[in-house]
Amino acid sequence: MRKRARVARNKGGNHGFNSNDFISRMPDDILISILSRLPLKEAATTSNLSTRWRYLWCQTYCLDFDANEKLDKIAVDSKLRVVERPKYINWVNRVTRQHKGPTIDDLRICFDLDKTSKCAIDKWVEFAVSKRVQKLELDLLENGEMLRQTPRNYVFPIKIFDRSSGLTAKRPALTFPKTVSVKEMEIKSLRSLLLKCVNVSEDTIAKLLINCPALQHLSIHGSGDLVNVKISGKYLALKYFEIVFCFGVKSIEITDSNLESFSYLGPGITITFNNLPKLEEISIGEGYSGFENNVFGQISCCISHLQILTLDIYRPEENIKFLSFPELPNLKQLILKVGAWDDDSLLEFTSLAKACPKLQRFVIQLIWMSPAKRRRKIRQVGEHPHKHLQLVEIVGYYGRTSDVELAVYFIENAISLQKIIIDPRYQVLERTPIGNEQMKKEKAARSCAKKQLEPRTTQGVELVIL
Amino acid sequence: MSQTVVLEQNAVETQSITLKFDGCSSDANPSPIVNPENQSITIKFDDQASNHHTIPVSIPNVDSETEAAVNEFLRKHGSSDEESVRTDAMNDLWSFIERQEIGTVVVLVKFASDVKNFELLEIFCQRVADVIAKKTVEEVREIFNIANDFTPEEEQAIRDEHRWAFED
Repeated sequence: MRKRARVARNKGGNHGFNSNDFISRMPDDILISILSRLPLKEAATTSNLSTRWRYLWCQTYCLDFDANEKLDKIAVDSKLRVVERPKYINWVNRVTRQHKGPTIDDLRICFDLDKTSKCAIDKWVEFAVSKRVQKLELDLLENGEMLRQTPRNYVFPIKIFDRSSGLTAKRPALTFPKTVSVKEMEIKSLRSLLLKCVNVSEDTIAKLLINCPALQHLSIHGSGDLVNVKISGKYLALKYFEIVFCFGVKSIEITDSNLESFSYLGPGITITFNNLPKLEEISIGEGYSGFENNVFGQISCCISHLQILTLDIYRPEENIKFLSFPELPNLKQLILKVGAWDDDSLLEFTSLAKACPKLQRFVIQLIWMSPAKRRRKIRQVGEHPHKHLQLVEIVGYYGRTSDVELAVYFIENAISLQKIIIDPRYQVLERTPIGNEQMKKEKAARSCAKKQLEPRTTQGVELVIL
Repeated sequence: MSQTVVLEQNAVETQSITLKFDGCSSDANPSPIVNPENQSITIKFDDQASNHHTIPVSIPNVDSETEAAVNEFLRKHGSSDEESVRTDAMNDLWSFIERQEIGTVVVLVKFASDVKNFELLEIFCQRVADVIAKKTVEEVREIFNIANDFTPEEEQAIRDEHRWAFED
């Protein structure tokens, strides 16, 4: 061996490690673990480091086919989609074909794809299942940010998950021993399924819950085909369930389950909850006012043990003043997402905070619809100590009188207040880059916040302006 | 159990890397290595102190600062069930590791893997990944002293095969 050249350079396949190259000497599984933490492109470029590294990236655990840059470009010029779509599909096809590792943890598809790409996407889902994927995400929003007309959506290939259906005459050549039980057909690896603009039916959900006993997280956005959703069963592993903007849904019924977190955003529907002792986190927004259909009545069985509540109130109604909220005895975090119109007072929302004796964190996120600054006096409302409230966040602070009013209310009333965070940025995440108008508004909002709040902040309260 | 990691660069040529852990040795490098040419690395786990119950982690050839930091993390992290204490310990270890030379981090990765401390392994592997990210192939080779043993034709073939990865 001494006769060989010092550092083998021109012989492929000979691992001539430098004496100082510690990293290449590490076992495969450690290097693969490191590569799995890199974005896919970067992991693939390591194939060029040396022969030792050439095929390691093919065993990565994480396949995140992120194409955000391309989607941003398409948002500006939608004609680009014609060219970019097949490129994306080819990319995923190539990488999944080259993949050598026995398992993957994550597969994420994120692109504007619809039912015309059914063949390709079906294959990717089959690939994921065969590699015992734990987290599968199909994010197929139109242009990467909008909901598609549901008849054009890709339909979730439940057949891949419903193994028992594979025993039918469809593939007579397959010999399944008759003793194979349903349990062996289960897909034990899947823990998390996130679907955006993928059509899912009630039957699909039922089959998923039966065939994937480890499924903890199910999130469905923008699906057609769902009308009456029912989830029930103490044996279910499901902890987190989310339905967002599925416009055909009329009712959601969840009973006798160990669900811990529920989220719904969309038109007003019938929600029936029963016997959900672990449900501690709810995020809800029904209809334009957020309060259609008597939301608090619908979730009443959980009110006593609720810890975190998020309310989506697109168009706060006038009558919000008169709605009486039940007491939420154990609520620690209250998060309100509110449309900001004109200079409507936000003080009504303090009555929600007052109904939560143990509240520690209050967040109001203002979505700038048509905010305007009006000159008027700052109003006061009834005092309340808010004994446990330590953190208040006003996100989307515009600088209106109503914004100042709310901040001042908490500074003056919350006796345990430690920190107040003001975020003056535009809250809607869009793909088209922020225009100058928007930047000006944010700058103005930031300086308003400084001017308005710095002099009013009391000792012991930390004011953070982002 | 007590382990010491001693990193030596021997002038003597050896054929493989031997890991001794608590007295039992194993050829702990399953990757397909054709023996390195000149110098070799011996990572010895000194099991002299195996009768002790604590695990002092000392890595000579490196700052005693490294040893102190890892020890401190292990102590703090294991001392409390409280989330905030464990997070603080984690953050401290992070800021420490970010100041270290990459050679130290690589040695720490191997160590964490061998003692099967998955929390440490997670942090150290992530650090290595962070160092690799956003760098060109040449830059990574330089940082880790990786020898390029491809022929120019092979290199080009790889770039062609994964063109999507190499384009901007």
